[in-house]
Amino acid sequence: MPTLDSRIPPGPLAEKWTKRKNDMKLVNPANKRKYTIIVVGTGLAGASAASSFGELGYNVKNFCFQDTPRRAHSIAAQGGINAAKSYQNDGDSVWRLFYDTIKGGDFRAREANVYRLAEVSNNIIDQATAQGVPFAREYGGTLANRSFGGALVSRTFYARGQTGQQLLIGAYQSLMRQVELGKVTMFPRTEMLDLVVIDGRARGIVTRNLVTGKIESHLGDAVVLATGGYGNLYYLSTNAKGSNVTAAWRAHRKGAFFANPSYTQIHPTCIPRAGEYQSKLTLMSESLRNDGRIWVPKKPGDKRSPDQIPEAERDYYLERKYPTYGNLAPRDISSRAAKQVCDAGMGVGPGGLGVYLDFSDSINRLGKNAIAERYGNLFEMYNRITGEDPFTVPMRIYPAVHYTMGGLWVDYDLQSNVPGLFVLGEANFSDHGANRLGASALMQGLADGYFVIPYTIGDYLARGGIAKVGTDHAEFKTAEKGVEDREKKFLSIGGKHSADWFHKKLGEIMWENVGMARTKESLEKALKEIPVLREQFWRDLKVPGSSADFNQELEKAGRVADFLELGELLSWDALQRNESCGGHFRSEYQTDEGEAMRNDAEYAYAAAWEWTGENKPWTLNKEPLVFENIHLQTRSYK
Amino acid sequence: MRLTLEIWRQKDAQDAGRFARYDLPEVSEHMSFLEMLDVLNQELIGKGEEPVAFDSDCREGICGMCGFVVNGYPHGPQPLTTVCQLHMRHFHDGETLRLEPFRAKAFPVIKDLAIDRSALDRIVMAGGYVSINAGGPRDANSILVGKKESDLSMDAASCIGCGACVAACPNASASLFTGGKISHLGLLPQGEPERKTRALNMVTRHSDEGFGGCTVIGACAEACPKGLKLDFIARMNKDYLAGTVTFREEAAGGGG
Amino acid sequence: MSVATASTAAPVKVSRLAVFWQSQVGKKFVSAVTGVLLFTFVVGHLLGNMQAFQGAEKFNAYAHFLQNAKAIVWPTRIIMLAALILHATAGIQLWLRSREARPQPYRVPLANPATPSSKTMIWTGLLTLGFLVFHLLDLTLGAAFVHSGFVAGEAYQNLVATFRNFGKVIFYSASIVGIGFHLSHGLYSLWQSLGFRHPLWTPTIMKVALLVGVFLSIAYLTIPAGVVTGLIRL
Repeated sequence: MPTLDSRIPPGPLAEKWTKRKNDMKLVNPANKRKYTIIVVGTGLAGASAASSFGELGYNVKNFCFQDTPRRAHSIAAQGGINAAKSYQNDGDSVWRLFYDTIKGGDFRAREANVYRLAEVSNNIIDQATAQGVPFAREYGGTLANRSFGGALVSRTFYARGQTGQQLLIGAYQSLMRQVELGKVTMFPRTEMLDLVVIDGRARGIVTRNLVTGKIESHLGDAVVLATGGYGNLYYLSTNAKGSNVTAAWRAHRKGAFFANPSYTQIHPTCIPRAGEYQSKLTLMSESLRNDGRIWVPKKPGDKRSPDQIPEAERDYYLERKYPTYGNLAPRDISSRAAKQVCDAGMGVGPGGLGVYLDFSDSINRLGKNAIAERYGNLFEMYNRITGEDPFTVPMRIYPAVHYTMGGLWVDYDLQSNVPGLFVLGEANFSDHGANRLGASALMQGLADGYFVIPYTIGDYLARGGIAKVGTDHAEFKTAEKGVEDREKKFLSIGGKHSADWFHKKLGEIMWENVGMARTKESLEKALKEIPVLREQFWRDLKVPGSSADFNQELEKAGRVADFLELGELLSWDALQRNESCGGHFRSEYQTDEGEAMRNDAEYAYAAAWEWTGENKPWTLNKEPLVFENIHLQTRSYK
Repeated sequence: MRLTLEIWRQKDAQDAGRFARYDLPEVSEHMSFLEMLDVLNQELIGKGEEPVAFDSDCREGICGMCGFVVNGYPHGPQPLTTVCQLHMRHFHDGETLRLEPFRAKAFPVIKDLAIDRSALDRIVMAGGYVSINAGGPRDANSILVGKKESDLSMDAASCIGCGACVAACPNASASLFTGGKISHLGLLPQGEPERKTRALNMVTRHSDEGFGGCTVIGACAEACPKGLKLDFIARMNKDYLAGTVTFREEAAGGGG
Repeated sequence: MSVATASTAAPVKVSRLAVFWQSQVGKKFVSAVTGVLLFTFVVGHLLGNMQAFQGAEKFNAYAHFLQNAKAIVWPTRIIMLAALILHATAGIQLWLRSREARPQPYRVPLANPATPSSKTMIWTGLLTLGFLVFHLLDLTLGAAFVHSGFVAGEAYQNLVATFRNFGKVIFYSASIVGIGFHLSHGLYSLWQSLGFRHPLWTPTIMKVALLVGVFLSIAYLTIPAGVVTGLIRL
């Protein structure tokens, strides 16, 4: 078993990143153009990394499966981005942002990574502002902030309810500038289908052109994956329809460890599902919880319309259970609380799977205009989807899979255990522990892309030892053949069911057994059902069309095949972790009050799973989490 | 409800294309438009036919990947709504809906309703950015931006790059898209230094990509799912005109 | 050390004017400016022609004055001709360009909310151009194949003769309505082409442009109407 070296620099927490940067080898500016870096993904992490590499002088090949890099799903983040600017004079600091993030993550993240994240958070705001991201402003012209779940300070910067969109467009514009300059070559509508490892180093990828079906090899001196999370494993999630695990999973099968897959975040404020045909769930920004109050009727099965239920017969359960944080309790806690009241029969709306998010108090207190100013576009979005007006009827919300904290294992330099393979943003496991706080995903994506990887990749390249090879190398040819064979297989099965059919089945298994609350029994059930479904998939799949053109069913088939493997690993990970922490809640491990019960003595580690071969059990490698600067405590938001 | 769909089927860019007719006897009013197509596609796969190709990704109305024309309306008849957010409750039983791809020379059809909109990327490449590198910018609050300018800039920046403006325009012009980007950056102090050259370069690229010109018809603004206004085209014109008059050639061999 | 920075240099190294003319924004600017010139002519021409209501003597005197005031008339003619050529060329080129931009038309027509005037600019423009040629042949040059009884110097008589011809009344009236349409969109959209749009003023400009278009049409129509009703007679 290889040892996992997290390569955390020694020394005091606040000086680690500076020290690391000082110790790095640098690439001579004149030599940078001799290196080619492959970047897969164009979300906040991918676009910011690719444009930064271009600015530094490297040659970059950047890939995305969408028709243009600007579509990446970072674009859908609504609420905001955190930074420790303390513009509000309310006691914020780098330390406090670090502490909130690590506590929010239920003490399952690396101290050093999280501290660095908090440290560079301020640079991100400066960078984005300089790029022309139109953050919300005060009348005096300074930047506005709002508060967000899991924090007692106002440190969230936002651009209406479209912060992710604006930050992504900022990064996209920088990327387009590099494309125009010829430093970055863009490959849209191109999907990575395998990683190529030569002499133990990541040296390239094999891709499929989604329009022509052409399989191609791309050589590089390093490969950077910024391919997002795997929430679509559950079929219904807030992720984009195209979001998938394939790039990361192919890398995993080529040796990269997959860490903490069971840390999945269920977001508390999503629009409840309306029917069988539902294709995805829509998130309503958590910022709504600043001014909305969450409640359910006290009486189970109460069918009265919300305005007919008097104050005394309503249960504002978050305010009741968590008086300090109230409606701003962290995501995992709020989600589970919603599930608990719905399981107890108090849920509202179709199927009793919903709770009210009520703005009437805020509207009375601040006026309709103030609320419209803050949430106007979110209210419109809700109205468009449900046909109901939140100004007059409380919103109905229910938790949905939203973000995955787990991902490919990386060291402090964001390098996986495969040298030359770097992983950024949601695709890695590094910064959010077992639960991510609101407005931190954008922060991590941009921190990784703008302020971490440009340094650490230089160190890797400058250390040399990268052999001269071409795409005619046997490893490329083998990978290409593997990709082609797999496509042929999908097209030749000729079974009865579409990829979506299997995906939905898998999603049901996952949501029922490996969802918001897991038990040993439910996990064992999932571990029995997933291989059966997978076996059926390879026997009964139906993919129409050919591999030589634009074939969206073929794309889906490959993605679902990988999800069918990931689902199993995720269940194993959840089963071995005999504790509850953050997004991983094992019903056996809870306090008398129903709160998550961690087991720091035995489980303060990151679980990094190693692929050992088709239908063979994974090997578990453990990276112990050492907390030198903070005291582990039970998370309390009361 | 029962709906009849007439969908444009085109195998690839070379194929001439034609409408195909599909009957959907049970459409739920709570479905989104794309979910209805999902259901149709599952049926087609079941029957061994090729499903209808259409683009979509976020299905939240923000990524801009979806979009086709429904009965002559880009993204369908509901204002300020992308087709992924368009719900079937806005249609009535027995209706016939005709679905066509966005049509423009600059947007070649890939297959059925899926098109290639990379021309929009190339317009941004011509100058839709602030030319700064990552690292070492000054403190964000050292750049003051009035709330009004900031809000207006945000209005322009909310463009999702879906191409509905091009689809709706009788001239197939992407002026609203281009004007939106020019306005987003031009309204902010950060974008001021390059304001005029940006307009010159982006307008030129817009034309090189084969889009038509603006004749102030206003169909783009009506079709825009994010409500961008013609004001942004006026601003583009203004910056372009000012740029033409005041532009200076760069001094050759300047410092290095 | 120098690192790569995006060049936002000039798009092309050729003449600035050529680049400007080749760009769609530039063409619209030219179209707007020349449109304003042509509009002033339309107004001036109307004011002159209104003298028809004051009888033959006054009207013919006006015509004589114009024919003798070569120092005013010729520069005006040259400027107007140049404006017309530029205006028409820009308009036709933009229209051709638009057709090129959508080689595959929609099978289901677009449900455009556009005003009828904005969608028909090319047609009202071409109508105006055709009308202009006819009008010059008819009442300025007096080409025999258009106006058989034309008498040089007898502007009033020629005018009345023209509008005693039913076909010409129809053609003149239709053309005048077309010009009204053209102006009601042109007078609004020229502001946009010049880069001016304002939430307060633009709606007003739109209304005023429509009113001016309607008013000018009606005013011009009074002349054939005057002949037909006998208000203007020999």
